[in-house]
Amino acid sequence: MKAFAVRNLKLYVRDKGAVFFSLLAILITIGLYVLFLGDVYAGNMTDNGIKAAGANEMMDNWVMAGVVAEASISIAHGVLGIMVADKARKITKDFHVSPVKHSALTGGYMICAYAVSVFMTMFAFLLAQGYIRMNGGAVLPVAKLPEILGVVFLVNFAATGMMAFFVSLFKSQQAYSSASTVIGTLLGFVMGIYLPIGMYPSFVQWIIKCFPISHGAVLFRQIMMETVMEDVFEGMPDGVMEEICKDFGVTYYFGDFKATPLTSVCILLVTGVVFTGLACLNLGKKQKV
Amino acid sequence: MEKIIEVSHLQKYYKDVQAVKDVSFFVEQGGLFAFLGPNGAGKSTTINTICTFLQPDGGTVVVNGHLLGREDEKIRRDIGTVFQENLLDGLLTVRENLMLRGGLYGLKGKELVSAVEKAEKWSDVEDFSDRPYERLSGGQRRRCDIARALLHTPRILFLDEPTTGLDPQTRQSIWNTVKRLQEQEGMTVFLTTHYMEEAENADYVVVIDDGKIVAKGTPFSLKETYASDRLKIKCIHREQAVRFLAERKIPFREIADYMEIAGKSTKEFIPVLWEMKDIILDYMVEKGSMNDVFLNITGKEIRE
Repeated sequence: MKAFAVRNLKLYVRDKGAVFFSLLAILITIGLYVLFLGDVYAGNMTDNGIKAAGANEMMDNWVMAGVVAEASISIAHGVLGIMVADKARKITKDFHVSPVKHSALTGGYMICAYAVSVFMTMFAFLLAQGYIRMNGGAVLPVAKLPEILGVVFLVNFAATGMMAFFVSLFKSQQAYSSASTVIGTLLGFVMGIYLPIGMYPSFVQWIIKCFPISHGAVLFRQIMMETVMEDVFEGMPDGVMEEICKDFGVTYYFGDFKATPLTSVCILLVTGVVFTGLACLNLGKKQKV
Repeated sequence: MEKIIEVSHLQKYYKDVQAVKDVSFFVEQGGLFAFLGPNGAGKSTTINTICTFLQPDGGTVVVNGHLLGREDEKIRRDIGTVFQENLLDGLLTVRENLMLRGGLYGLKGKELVSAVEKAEKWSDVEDFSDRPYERLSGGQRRRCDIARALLHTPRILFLDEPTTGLDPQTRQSIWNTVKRLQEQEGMTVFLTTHYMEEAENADYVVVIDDGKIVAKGTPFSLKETYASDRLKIKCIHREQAVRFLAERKIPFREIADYMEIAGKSTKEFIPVLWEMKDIILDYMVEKGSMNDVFLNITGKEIRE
């Protein structure tokens, strides 16, 4: 299983195109934000009487939290593309002619995807900190690092599981590429990172809240934005901060129920377990030649 | 001789279509066994079943004493398979590919390295083992595929049309490698092929058509039964020769500027030739080939 995971890693790293395209969704988000979305949101806030510097730093943290969360799923998706390529090129035939269990192969794909996406998510997090610092914001204190790491591990577990299941449904490279394009486009929306969740109609808000990986973004936001929000909203009425948290998806409300960090953690955990199980089930079936 | 593969009453359906209808044959240990048949005859289905990809819908298959369906994992350890497609990773070097696939058999450390080296030596890929697989020529790739199949020193080597699409020279050299493995390493070789000259070199041939076995035997016995030998003669005066053959009621065919006489054996031609020696300009004797066998049995030309 380990050797097989290493093989997938080598294939992924050597395919420069695959690496680039798995980063594309993230680059698009950052591009959109840096070019104009950031200014629009920060502008909205200063209109509400918040200091410009604070608003900017808060928005930087907001978008970067989203980007870090998005990295998990888009990288896992990119790495697991190897699985479809193997099926399309019939390389799986060669694996199944050897005395290796289906579960070991599935495990090899998923371990590789998990390892790469954890690494890249951490890398994205470090880059995000660099960007925030460059813009004059404060770097996250080291004491918060364990929390970040915990969320990184968790969100990637859920993301790898979901993507493995999704990828297991495809047999042809072409169908997979087309689906990937659609996913790449939609991902930023269903994660609630292109636009703050409060700007969508309530129906779409529900879709976002029900998309499990978006809870990863919520957790990152809560950790990364905590300090700056305390500063910004100091001395303001309680309702203002709560309203902003709701609009920007820092806290989710399911009807009257306010989702706590524990709720999000549980959602991610269950998602990871369920989808990993489904993916294994789907991939374990006897392959037809 | 011991039977290393025994297939009895094998049946396989694809939904309502019966791809393999009651096929029985056996393969002797250490032999070179050729499986012939036109496209869609059920060749690949049969091979895929023996290689544990497909579960049979009827009948039994025993490979080296292991029953298919119950001891698939043991069967997989005993067989090495070279598929029609090239199935190694293009972005990895030959060496990396072999190390990885060797790992699938539970080989580790020194054991793995020596297995890889041995496989490389057997199939002559040492010279380009550091190059990425995708940059190799067709013949070199095929050699790597064979090396991959040899990693765990299988008892039986399956080759599904191993030389299709290769130039004649490369074909010959791949073929020599296969022959060497069979003769020197005592490996049992099971191959399907389009090329009659390859079938001709086999110890035993099974011809399959429309999901059924239509003939089996050694190339020699098949030719004896299904192919006729031919005498081709070119005469000084055509009319003279026609009259001569007609008088003796010897059937013949005129093709271009020569006449062709079919016979059960080349020996039959001696008296005819002797009697005609004064009116013959030139002659040629041809043994029946596997191509004739194939044509006569299936009514189809072997296609690529």
